[in-house]
Amino acid sequence: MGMEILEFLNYGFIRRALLAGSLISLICAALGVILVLRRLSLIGDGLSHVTFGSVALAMALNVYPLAVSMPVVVVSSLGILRMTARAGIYGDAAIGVVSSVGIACGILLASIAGGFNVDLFSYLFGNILSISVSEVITAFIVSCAVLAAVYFHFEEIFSITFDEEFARASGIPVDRINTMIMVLTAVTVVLAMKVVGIMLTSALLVLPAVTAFQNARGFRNAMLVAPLASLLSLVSGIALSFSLDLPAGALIVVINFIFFCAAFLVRYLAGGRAN
Amino acid sequence: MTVVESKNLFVNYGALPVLSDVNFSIRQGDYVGLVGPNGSGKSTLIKCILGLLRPAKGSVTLFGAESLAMHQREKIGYLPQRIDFFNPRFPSTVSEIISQGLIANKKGGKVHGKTQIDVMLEHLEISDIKNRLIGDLSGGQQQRVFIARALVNEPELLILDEPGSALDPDIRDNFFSLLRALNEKKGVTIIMVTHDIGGIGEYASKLLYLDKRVIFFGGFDEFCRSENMEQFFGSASQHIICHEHH
Amino acid sequence: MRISRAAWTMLIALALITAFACRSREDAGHGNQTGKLKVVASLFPLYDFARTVGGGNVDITLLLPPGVEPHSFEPRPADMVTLSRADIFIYTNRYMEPWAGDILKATDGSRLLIVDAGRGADFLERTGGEFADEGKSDETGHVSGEGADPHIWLDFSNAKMMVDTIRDAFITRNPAHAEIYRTNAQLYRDRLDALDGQYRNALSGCRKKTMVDGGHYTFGYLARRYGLTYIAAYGLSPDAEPTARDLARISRMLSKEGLKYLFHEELLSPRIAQTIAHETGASLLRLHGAHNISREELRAGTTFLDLMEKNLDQLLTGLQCR
Repeated sequence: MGMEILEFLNYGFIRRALLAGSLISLICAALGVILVLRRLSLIGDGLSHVTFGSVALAMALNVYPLAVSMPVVVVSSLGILRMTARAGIYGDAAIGVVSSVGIACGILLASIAGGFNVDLFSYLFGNILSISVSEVITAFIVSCAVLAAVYFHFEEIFSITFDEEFARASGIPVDRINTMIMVLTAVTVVLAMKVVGIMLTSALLVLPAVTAFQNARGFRNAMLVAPLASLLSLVSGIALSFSLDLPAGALIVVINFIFFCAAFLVRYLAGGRAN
Repeated sequence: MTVVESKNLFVNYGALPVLSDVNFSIRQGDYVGLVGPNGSGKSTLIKCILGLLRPAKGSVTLFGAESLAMHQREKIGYLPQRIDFFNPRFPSTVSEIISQGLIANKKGGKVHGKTQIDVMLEHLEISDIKNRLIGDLSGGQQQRVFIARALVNEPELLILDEPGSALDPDIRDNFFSLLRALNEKKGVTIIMVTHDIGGIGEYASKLLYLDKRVIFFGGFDEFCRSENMEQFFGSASQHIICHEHH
Repeated sequence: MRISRAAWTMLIALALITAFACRSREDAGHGNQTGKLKVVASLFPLYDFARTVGGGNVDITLLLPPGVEPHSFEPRPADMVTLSRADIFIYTNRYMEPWAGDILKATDGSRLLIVDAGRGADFLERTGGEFADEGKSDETGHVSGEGADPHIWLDFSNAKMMVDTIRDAFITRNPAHAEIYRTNAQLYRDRLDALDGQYRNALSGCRKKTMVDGGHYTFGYLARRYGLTYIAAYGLSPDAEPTARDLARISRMLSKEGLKYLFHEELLSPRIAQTIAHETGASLLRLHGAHNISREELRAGTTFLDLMEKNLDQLLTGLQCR
């Protein structure tokens, strides 16, 4: 049994899945904490719908999907930011607009290109088993950028997320940092598409964050617990998908949810006792 | 030294004028009570002073610099009005929130001065809840945390938007003593927005009465002696403000 | 002032959209001459057989746009219009075109002759995920069990039978040219026989007898006919991605059998095949399932026989027959 557990590590595609997947799960969780606290939880959903449209576009043009998705999704996320800044359009409405336009464009493009095909489906549900070496490198570079940005601007991000007006009054360049976060989110969502697919990207952003919030002992604490939970769910998800012969993406999300339930239970029980 | 100066300030929300031709000059050491009816533009004025709003016409300068472009933010301490400006379920400890007030001091890297936080905690008698989550505290305790956040950087100018409303009575006295000490001993300039026209005379040295424009700005003695003011506000109002307390 | 400007913008946009929508779509090989049989085929092999049998007397349209993968294709309103103007509609079998049944219902009573090209074919039945040869279908084209492998045209004896079915349909509708159709069909059958012989001879002496496909389960019929073992990474269903264990199993099999080559399919992304190839060091070879052809292949006038000859070449390399 012991040998069997580690057997799956013998395969290159599993190792690449673990490597890229781990990095992506970490940054999704970190950004997820920020996004959920800003009531932008659905942005993962919205941007992944845009990703769908951009992938359809890429396929229609016969171009490598990631190359089209990155710029399109970045522009969309900045569009959401822009719309939210204008009075009268709140975050969720802005996301709704961008999200539905993304899907609609995707459907139209796919239809023009001749119909939905298998390849498009695989982007919907993730293709973590066919991560190439260059994609691992991309994941590494993006993850370093996200983690560095969050680390070096940690205090400012915390202040902005907690009380944007106070942050501005403190002299923090709020708009610049918000833009940075949106761009990083966009890029991260596009990468997450590889791991869990467009359908489940939102889960990878939101679930680890809410898991951490159940028993968080502070903001720093939440920012450590969320990525940890995410990483564990990814590694165990891939390992279990191998032993149970099930699709990895969905399994990762389910495990994330199990972690959430566990955290919720802990909080519930602790709360009961503290009466 | 002029700390805050407003010159020909006009601010609109869309087509609606909110502030018209606001002129005043606050000097160092002034303790200004900013009063006025609802919708008089007090919050808008505060936002202009803090550089959060761009005026339609005119300007506000802070320590000599245009408020929008002013970079020495460590000189300012700000306590926002306590109406749902934050999410109580936000996972954050008291200590983390107070340290937000130290960011302005950052010189490209770490936030220093942990002990500044501890001093502040002591002053406001919240040392025991240093590591508690903000959402688990009472309204009064939360307010003290935000006061600590405003004061922790030892600012030269303090801007407080209705600070006393959420405080428990025993803490309120301590708080106002603290403000008086800062003003009298350290020369901290204070601008306090308040509805408490009965008590404002007790601690402030100047009154800025705003109703879309400056109705009055000057010392309390001046206000109480002025006949115009009695006409404007009615003797009852003036009486309340000028009534002496102990 | 501003309101009317917005209204103008919308009107112009609407006009542009309507004009764009009214552009007629290009189909492969669509002409519009009178006096000829109008035939619509759902899949490339049928299209190729039909144009060969029909010669200059028929006017053939392929329903699939070039480059489009057929397993998830559904006919659109424009396609229904094309069908309504046709004399004959040929489809492969109900597993390949599940939507053919709807066409039957929609055009019931009209003059459209609907041809099930797979009638009488020797189907490979699916039994619980693996394919087993369960014998011929009955007269109505039904196969018992969970379903069948739809790629019947890749068994050349099935292909010959399909040619006959098409010929008979043409004769029914256009008896005046019956002799031409019979002659063309016979010539084509001879060529299929020749091809079959080529395959048989060439594949008899191969060092390897196992075909491993990094794509979908397409070549079951071909493998059966020439006594080869066939494994595919994907199942028959176009949506099912291979699991990690599937990939591990295939990688191990390639190593175990000492296979240096791995096949992949046309039109679809070869990512999974590339992953397996990367894992095992195998080289990739493309096998064309002839479902549909790309725009370039269409322009080059590629035929079914061309594709099958190229496939043989790839098989000879892949199975180390030379």
